[in-house]
Amino acid sequence: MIRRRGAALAVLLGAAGFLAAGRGEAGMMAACDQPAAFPGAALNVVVLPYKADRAVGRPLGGPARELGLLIQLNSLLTLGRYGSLGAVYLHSVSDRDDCPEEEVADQLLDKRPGAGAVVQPGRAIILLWGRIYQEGPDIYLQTYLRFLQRGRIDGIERRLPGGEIFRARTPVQQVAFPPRRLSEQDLLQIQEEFQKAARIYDKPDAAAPSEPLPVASRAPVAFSVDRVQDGWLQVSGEVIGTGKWLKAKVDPREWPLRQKMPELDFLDALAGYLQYRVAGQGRPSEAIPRWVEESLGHYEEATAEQAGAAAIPIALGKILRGNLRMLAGQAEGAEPLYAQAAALLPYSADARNLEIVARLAGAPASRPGEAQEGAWLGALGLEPANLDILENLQTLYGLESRGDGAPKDLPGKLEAVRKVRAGILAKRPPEFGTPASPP
Amino acid sequence: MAEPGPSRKRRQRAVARAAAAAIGWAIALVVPAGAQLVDCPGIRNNPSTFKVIFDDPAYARQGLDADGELQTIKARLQFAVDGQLQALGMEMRQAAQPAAQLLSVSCPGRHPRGESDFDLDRSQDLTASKVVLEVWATLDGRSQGNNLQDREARIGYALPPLRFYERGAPGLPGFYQLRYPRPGADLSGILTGLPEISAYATLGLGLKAAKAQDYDLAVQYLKKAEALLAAAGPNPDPDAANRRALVDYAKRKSCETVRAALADPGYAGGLKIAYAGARRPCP
Repeated sequence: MIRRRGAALAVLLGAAGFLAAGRGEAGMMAACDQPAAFPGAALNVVVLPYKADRAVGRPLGGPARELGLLIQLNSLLTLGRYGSLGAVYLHSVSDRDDCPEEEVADQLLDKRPGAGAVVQPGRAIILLWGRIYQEGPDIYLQTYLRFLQRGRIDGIERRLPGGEIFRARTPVQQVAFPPRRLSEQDLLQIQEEFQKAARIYDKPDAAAPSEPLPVASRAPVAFSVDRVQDGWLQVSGEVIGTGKWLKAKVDPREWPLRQKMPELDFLDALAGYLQYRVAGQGRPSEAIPRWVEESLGHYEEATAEQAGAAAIPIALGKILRGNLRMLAGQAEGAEPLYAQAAALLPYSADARNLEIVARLAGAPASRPGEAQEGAWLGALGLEPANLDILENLQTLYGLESRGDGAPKDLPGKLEAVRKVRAGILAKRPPEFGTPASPP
Repeated sequence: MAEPGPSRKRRQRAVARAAAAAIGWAIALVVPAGAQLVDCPGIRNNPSTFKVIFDDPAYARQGLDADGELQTIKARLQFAVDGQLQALGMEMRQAAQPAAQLLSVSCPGRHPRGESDFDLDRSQDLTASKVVLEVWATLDGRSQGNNLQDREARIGYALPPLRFYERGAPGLPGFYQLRYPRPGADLSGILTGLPEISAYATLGLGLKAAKAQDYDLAVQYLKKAEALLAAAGPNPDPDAANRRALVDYAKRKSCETVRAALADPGYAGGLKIAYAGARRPCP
């Protein structure tokens, strides 16, 4: 039964040609035990249900339970500006309460069976999930987020004229945001707004006959956005039919959920960043870095606490900005951002590596040398098995050994680095530090 | 001037009885009702995975469980600790160079009475089971008539590897009790962070790895522990002295681990490159 439903969904997604190219948005509600993504979308945002923490000890009220769905619709309504987007909400099924993020991710990345449709290589995915703790009228949310581009390592590189490459990766691709307090009243207000937005209209007119979007269906409900007209989206899908309209004229800043959850600003920035990466050589919109900057700025403004665990999303925000600058060829603008991130994550060799590679890229006329060697050796002292740093040292020593008057100890250093790298690679699968690197 | 023998002995006995009673009262005040260190099968499962044990938060004495605010604090604590442990597990999974798995083990009904529960044998057993940290909490308040005031949570931490490997080391008990609310804060602060959990667990993991001569993992986590311990805890902080001692210890231990790796002919990892030539692991 499940297999038949999966096959049917795959056919539906394929035949509909959702998001085949360029801009476009599609939404879907599916059950957790059979997740699916839009294969044609440059980015899928997959929202899992927020789970009641064991401390709650009782079922959550409606608004809290539906929070995941609200976030999915928020994504659909606000993230489409970046490009081709699939927004998926996975709801729990009655015979199974949990919806483990790792399992869903593995299914959607085709590492284990069970998904109706998977993310294609090179395309990006953001998974978002969380916990809810309700204390009287107050609701505390903790949101988690994971992102990746399938089959790619997120990071930067500096290519030298001779073809040599120095690489550095983004050290953090999973984030636990600090718990956030909302009142039940806040959630009710959000739900009211949501109910107004989540209706399907016969015409692009708020007075036209309408019905609710079938969001809680057990069977997957997928729809594509066919046309945008004066703040309205024309949508079609097997369940909702053709020629229907969604009212989407929502200023992202006015969307109430976003005001209460700065994490959604972070999500917005991350979506823009990933769209920019996926577009790659296909000339991504020049507006994206500006939008990413704005959204990260809003997140930082709303997040007073920047120490401890809260430092991680702040540091990641700086790294995303730095990566965008590197992709745009503005290494000198990236380096200070990486330096700030490294100060927030003083134990991270990857954060230091980003700073070193950006510094190299910012001075294209100068040859890498002693200063870079010292910095990489310092970073290696923090994480002695960091393959990216070992690879960069190997490249550096290889370069130096080709020059005139190379130090006598260089062949020995080069051989030592090669041996250490080989030893580490022999002990673990070659998923990390192997050449399939960005951008 | 000495008192006659029998009278002096009577007085000594009376003082001893009073002292014993006082100690009994003191224990009754600090040891939760029904406190015990029951066995927890989850500790021995997954023998190759590092673990953090989280015991049931307990009330300091009978009757406190009827207090609504203390019930709320208990629920907050569970939410906060679960969140910290999930975040820590996530961080460790993605720090894939090298990867370390951390399991959160919930032990219902288990509640340490004090430092004596983590004697040498138990610390050794827990360390052998790869338990890097045990966390528990005692909820208390001062009764005034029918009211309860000055509610607090005393959160306990035991680092079995530190207690076992460094037994008797001055300033390094490996057993800490932190009072919440922190000075100048209220109890809602529990929800937004217990930074010491990550710091202590990271240190425990680093120590365990160092003992196993997994030098690369050990140095990575000892250096991280040093940074987390240095950052944890707002000022004014009554636990600052303990933390400073742990920061110094983490620094010293990572330095010793590097030295051990460099001296080990069987080690062929990145530390040999990082500290080749003139670079020294210790200041």
